[in-house]
Amino acid sequence: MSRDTPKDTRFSRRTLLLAGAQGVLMSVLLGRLVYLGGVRSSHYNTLSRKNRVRLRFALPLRGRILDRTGVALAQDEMIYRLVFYPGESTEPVKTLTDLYGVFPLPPLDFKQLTRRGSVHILKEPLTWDEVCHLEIHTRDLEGVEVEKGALRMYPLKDPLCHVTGYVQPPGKDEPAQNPAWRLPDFRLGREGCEKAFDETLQGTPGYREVEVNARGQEIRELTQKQGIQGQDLLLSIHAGLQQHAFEVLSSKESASAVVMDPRTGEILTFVSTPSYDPNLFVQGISSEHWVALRDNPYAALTNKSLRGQYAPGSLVKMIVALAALKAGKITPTTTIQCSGYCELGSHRYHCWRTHGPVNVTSALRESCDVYFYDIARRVGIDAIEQMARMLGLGAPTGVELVGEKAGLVPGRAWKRKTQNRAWTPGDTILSSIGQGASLATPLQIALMMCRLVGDGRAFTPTLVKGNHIPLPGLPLEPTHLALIREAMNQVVNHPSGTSYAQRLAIPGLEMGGKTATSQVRRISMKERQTRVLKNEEIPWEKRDHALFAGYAPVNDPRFVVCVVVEHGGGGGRVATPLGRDILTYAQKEIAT
Amino acid sequence: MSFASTLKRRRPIKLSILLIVCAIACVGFVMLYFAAGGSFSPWAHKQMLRFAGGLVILCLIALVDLRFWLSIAYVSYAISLVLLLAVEIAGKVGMGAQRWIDLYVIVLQPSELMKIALLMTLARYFHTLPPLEIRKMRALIPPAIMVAVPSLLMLRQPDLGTMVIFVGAGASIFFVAGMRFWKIAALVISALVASPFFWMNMHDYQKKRVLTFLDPERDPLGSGYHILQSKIALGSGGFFGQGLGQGSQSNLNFLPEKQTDFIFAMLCEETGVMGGALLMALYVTLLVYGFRVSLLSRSAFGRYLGVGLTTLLFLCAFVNMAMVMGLAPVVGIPLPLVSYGGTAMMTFMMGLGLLMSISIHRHVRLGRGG
Repeated sequence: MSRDTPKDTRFSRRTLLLAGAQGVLMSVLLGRLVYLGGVRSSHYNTLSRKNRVRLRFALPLRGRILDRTGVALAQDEMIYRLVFYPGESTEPVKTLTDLYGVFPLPPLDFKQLTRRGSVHILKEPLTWDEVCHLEIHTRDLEGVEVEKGALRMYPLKDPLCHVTGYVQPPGKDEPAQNPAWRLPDFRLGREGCEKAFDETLQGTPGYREVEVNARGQEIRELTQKQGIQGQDLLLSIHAGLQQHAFEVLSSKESASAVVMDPRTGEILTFVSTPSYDPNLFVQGISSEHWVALRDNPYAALTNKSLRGQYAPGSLVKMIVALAALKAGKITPTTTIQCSGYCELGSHRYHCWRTHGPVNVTSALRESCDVYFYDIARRVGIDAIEQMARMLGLGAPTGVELVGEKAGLVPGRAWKRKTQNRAWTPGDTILSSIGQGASLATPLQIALMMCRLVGDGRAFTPTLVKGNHIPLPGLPLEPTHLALIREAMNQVVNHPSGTSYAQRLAIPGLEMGGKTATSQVRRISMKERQTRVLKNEEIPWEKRDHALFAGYAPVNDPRFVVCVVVEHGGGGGRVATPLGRDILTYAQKEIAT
Repeated sequence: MSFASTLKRRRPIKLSILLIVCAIACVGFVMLYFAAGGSFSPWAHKQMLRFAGGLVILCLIALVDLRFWLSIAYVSYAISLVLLLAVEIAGKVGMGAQRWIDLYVIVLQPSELMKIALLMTLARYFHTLPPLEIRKMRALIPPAIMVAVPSLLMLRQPDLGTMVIFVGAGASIFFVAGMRFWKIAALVISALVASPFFWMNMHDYQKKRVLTFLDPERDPLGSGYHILQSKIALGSGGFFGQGLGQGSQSNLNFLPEKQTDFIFAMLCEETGVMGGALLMALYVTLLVYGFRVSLLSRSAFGRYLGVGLTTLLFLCAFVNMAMVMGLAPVVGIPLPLVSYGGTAMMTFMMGLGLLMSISIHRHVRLGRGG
């Protein structure tokens, strides 16, 4: 048996030291326990629920939502409200009866109101006279209080509602995430920016520990912790342009428009009509309002700029042309003969008139379908699909709002997956003019336009001013982009262009663009043989969608617009004038 | 000494210590029973089953020769590290943030397994280190890496509390193995000097997390609220408590996570200072046993491992109780053997099993070769 070596004694010494340290720390804990449970016990007993100390949370003001010039789109306004805490009243029913005696209120369900552990707002907002009256007469009523509070207001109402969204009290079946949720004026962002930026707008609640007497009235404040106000949100939206666009679009049953700055990706206008007043939701929407909105035939609750999906129609032609130029399948001078139709097997694909010889510029200008049938088959669907995705179609754009739709860019993989069939040349032909399965949201179309006229720059669209999110530059030849832009200029400003009649004729403000009519119903062979029905002759929901995507000024584009009029009929005649009005206003009123 | 000869001894496992362990666990069962409003489901019955399974594992580990544990120390460390990396990578690749591995019988959390494995591997390292080598700086580098690699992986989770306990238990082995005092002082000072540099390199959200960690009052709806309610619960219990199942804070759900991290607050509300002090006394008994086992062991491996395991138990109990009493930031550290939860229970049962193995095989002499 070896005796203790120096190493062993050192181990023993140090182990005892460690054990001693742990013993000391444990003693500290025991001391703390005795202190809290013994010495300070009466203090904490006061704090415990039985002894009527309340933690009262105070919600901070919610951050404002401002447009790019600082106009308030949503803000909290101070109001007074009449509140009842049933738990602080010994005889809640009697208290309420007394209250009704001095202050007339609409009849309410007493059973619901007297449920303990909850707080009820009896009336808000109160007028100043009512506040004075109540302050005098409710002094002796237990649990009845006049409280200061904030109410969310949306001063610009309907035109901005799809941008701001709205706030609402949490639903009864939603589990509270923290104690603030149980407060009567707690609101959750439900739609639009209120939802997307809810966390930053909300801020951090403060709280007060207050001692209350047997009547539930505050005796004194024990501690106070200030909350942190929610941050303001400065949007890229221009409220004036948004209101103007809303008025312009309101002449139609159902429409949407997006205005973007191609140099930054900022969204200046994001309209969808018809619309609704977000103020209706803040205090909980009444059932008749809700039913009316829910059953609105033109989907008032849906932001169609973000969630409406439409066949992009002729707007796809720019994509096909660019894909063909990039692949070297055509040159600016390649000419094709348009004889009014093109045949593939037994099927005949029609053009809307007989154009004769066309090149890429004149084909875009005069919207010749046959030219694009032909070059689409030369370049193939894969290159077209790739180009469409590069320009922003077929996937959510990544804008901050929740619930964005992805659109659809058809291709081989898609067809194999959904129909389990091989891609056919006929599919390529339909895709080349944006019919078939293609779908895009107005935001995606605006984004595509930004990339077409943005000199190869690419951004993620944003609703926040200054939040520019550049993406890698597009691998496209500047000469190709310039050619497409010149063609879109000619669509509007060349006497033979399809939109010449709707041009913006103010010198210096000229716009370029492209119209599209997206077919909703299939034109039968029989109808084509007799006479194709005009849009006015068929029911609204079967008429074509009218689309216009434009930019201005032509030389140095600052604004891109996309207008979609649901079931509006011909794009050039219906949607282009709306886009022109919006671009005129934007150029005159907005300095960027 | 073989397995069979161990069994031949009249009382291979010290019954008194087993009874202490059972007593602590019973405190947990009772509290879980009342936390559920006087019902065995959803917590108490599961916890009892887990404890029963844990007892079997404890006894099995205790009966196995210490030489075996010495021989598998490095291997178990390597396996734990691989598992820890595996869950890290699996989480990153997008197979879900799965932090545990389901072995059907027991659910293993690699970070829990790592706690034991690290202590074993450090004990073995210092066990094999020739005397006086400990004075050399280069002898301290391999064990420092052994601690640092898993700590960094844990920090990514991010679980600052677990990491602090992990490092603390590891450090205790460095200390008793004879690391010189000035080196310990230098390490502490250099950590303090380096911290501003780390601070500057952190993202805003990380800073916010650390600030809330240091000052829970910044977040009154989250941990600050919890601490306040927990202190109220503790204080309103008085010396003898409000009676089991009678705690208003616990019953009215003012007390957060009363079945896990804040179970001690509920215990004190309902059984008062007496109940809390009793549980602390039970823990202290276990700690005394752990240190005694360490001091009596003949082998350096047993000594170091004993101190490490005892310190691990101490740190978990101390940090949890200090947190509940508002002396430490709110970190998710469960109360050993009492809080509801299977993986932590398994860690402590394995650790206690090893302590008993050290005790049973205290006369075993282990060569430096292992």
